[in-house]
Amino acid sequence: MKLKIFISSFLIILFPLSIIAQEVNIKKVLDSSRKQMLEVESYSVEATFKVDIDFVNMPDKTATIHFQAPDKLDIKSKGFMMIPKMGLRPLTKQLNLDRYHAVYLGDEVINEKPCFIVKMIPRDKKSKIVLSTIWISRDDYLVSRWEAFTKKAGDIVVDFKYDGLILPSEIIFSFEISDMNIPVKYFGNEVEIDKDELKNSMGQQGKVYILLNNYEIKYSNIDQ
Amino acid sequence: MNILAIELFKIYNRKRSYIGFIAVLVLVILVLLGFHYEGEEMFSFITKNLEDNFFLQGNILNGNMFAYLVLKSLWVHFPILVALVTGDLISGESQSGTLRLILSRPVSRLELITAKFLAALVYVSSLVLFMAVVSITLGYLFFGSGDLLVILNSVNIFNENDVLWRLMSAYLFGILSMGTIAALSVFLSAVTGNSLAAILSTIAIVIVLTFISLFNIPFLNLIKPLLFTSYTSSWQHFFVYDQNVLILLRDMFILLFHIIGFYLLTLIYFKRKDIVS
Repeated sequence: MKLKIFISSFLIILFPLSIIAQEVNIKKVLDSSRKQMLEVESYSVEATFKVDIDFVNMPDKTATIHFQAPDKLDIKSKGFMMIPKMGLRPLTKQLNLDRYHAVYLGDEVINEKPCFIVKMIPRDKKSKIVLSTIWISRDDYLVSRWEAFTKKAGDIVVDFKYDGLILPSEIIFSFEISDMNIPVKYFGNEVEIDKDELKNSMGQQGKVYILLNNYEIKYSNIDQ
Repeated sequence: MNILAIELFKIYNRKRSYIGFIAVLVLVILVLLGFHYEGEEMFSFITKNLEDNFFLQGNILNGNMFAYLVLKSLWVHFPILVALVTGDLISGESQSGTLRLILSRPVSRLELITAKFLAALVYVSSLVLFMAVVSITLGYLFFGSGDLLVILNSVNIFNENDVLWRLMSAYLFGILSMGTIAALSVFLSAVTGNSLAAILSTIAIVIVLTFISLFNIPFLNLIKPLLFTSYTSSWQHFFVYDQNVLILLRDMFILLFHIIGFYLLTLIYFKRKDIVS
């Protein structure tokens, strides 16, 4: 009797949860997000790059970014710049279920927006990305965050903020300094490095902030 | 003033004095060739780990980088070129017998030593400025201008328009550094009375003291602040953000103190010395 009550209680709790999980059609979420990005045939934008990395001192830099679908990126800038590769192209590949297995993990609020959390596992074993997680806004299906664990550079997190457009107005690229192997250790005898400070900084995060203004976007017509 | 002009004439009239200029020119050209042929490989060592996740935009192999590299690499060899001329200023005249002749004229020993010191400093300044002009001119001519990437304590990237004043300040500081070595060699020139001994002992002292400055050995760390070689590389502080101006001024005054100290020691010694040749 007691066993019957226990099993019944368990099923009563589990059943609504399974219904909630089944309510999220992850394919539909990914497709909705991807469709918006595929609408962008090309864009150009003025970008300002601010680097916030320990052991790197660099003034703010500006550049003009031109993107042509599917993945041609052209960056024009004056002077030397370190521009993050991830995040400047629309994430159409990263949301493609032909390339990734997708698992819905639940919800989370990112940048004040409730988001679906989707784990993306690459189908290709040779992919540079081992595993990624995407947070897609419930309101507008735009990507709020993308976290990728890469083979060479460890964990990278890209946050996207929007200002009314389907392309971001701000991208924040975060990574662990030690994973980037910034070679401050390998220099001549005049270099004075506080080894403790270096060691401490190696576990810290570096960030690159990209502020994007004055978009010129050309849209294409994509059938659903 | 007349004596200074004569001392300067003597320095610049000697073929030996141009060895330094020729050596600087040849070394700068060699660095230029190395920069041209090996520069990319050299910097890919620094940048290759970043290329996986970053586009590296812009050309860091430019004239500013070249001029900085020349400054950094030739600084090791510069003391030799300086000592070659300044180590001979007093002992050379002593060995050739002209010192007694000069002092038989109405020229005080104070005036003579002061003129020789000033002439040595003018020579050092001209050699350093020659290196500055040649490296910056050739660098801009062959590689153009651009941002400067310096790895010193951290990775520092300077905008193109923020580099020239740093380079010139570093060279001006360098005059002070090399001036200290020149002052040492003039002092040794007076003391040894032998040009070869003065030149070799200057070089030996600089090498030994530089080695001491490099190592982090506890009992040596106590004497490092007393060594002028601990401050000759302080020009590098112009290539960091947020320079500590007080430290720069401190290092400048320490070098100036050494120059004045060597000058006074030379003067005291020379005034008491019996000039027999």
